[in-house]
Amino acid sequence: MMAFRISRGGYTASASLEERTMMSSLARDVIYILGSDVERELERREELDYDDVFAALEAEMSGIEDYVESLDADDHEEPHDPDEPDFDQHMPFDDALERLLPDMSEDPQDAKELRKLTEESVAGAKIDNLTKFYNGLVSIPEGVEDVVVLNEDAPAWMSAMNDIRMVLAARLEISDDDRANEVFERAGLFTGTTMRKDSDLPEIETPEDMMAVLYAMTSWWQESLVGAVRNKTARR
Amino acid sequence: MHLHDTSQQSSPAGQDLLAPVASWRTVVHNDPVNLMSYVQWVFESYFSMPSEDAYRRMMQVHHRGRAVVSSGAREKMERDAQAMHAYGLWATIEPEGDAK
Repeated sequence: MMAFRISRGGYTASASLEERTMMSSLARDVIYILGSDVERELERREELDYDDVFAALEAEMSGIEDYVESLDADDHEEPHDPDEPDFDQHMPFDDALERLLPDMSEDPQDAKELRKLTEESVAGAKIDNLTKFYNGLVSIPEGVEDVVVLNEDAPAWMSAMNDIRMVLAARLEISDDDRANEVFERAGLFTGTTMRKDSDLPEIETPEDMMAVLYAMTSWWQESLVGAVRNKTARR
Repeated sequence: MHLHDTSQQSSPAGQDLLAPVASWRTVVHNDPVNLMSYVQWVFESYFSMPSEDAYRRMMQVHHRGRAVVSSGAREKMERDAQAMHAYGLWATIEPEGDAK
């Protein structure tokens, strides 16, 4: 996996198929927590685009997407790998949702009223961002490692990675900076640091360690995109 | 704190168009997940804050636990807080002059 850097019309990073699959699965899980389903979201977007002048081209593209998604769907039906994080079983659902959709007032009555007014639209915006992120990752053909994000899609990607980190943080019970540092240190044992060679790294054996690695990975990738976006803005 | 206490406001928001608009503010709270650079970027891009100002408010969130990011009519503050939540920052709205 490589950090995002500025490229013409957007930003370019690299990630292996395995890394992209891990990231897109996380996006799928967060969309699920927010009450939707990534396949349904993608279908709805296709219907909306139907009258578009690019409809014919998109129909062709969606055939490829469907194929990639069907591969993805097959993966999901396999017995769950104990090393993989299993959101359905272990996720403290309420805590994750509370982080994704927090109260908008410290007054409980006002918070309740504001939630009624705004929750659906905030959740909708997050689902949009996560679907864009998911689709961007799964549309990259096998054998290609470049991850290209257009300028206009960068905010959605940064927000989607932020939401993924929120959910992982709930699972890892990150409630203060000390705990966050502890998770980064734990992840460092498996991802290596400048001090250690890759070949000496231990295997990831527990779901907890897998979560820590995913959290560190997503944080690092998000940070690199934020840095690239802010650098590009500063140059203008 | 009680948001509908009329002693805090000149009139309930939106009920009397001739009365001065009750002043509210949007506050962003610290959390251990959001990256400092990301919070700064959100302030720069959503509120069009100059980089130094966005940095200063981000550091205020980080060190003091909260920072006021906008103030004005309640409806506008609701929109700002909603936008912050869509970005993944925790924001609340409160009447101005609230002892905090």
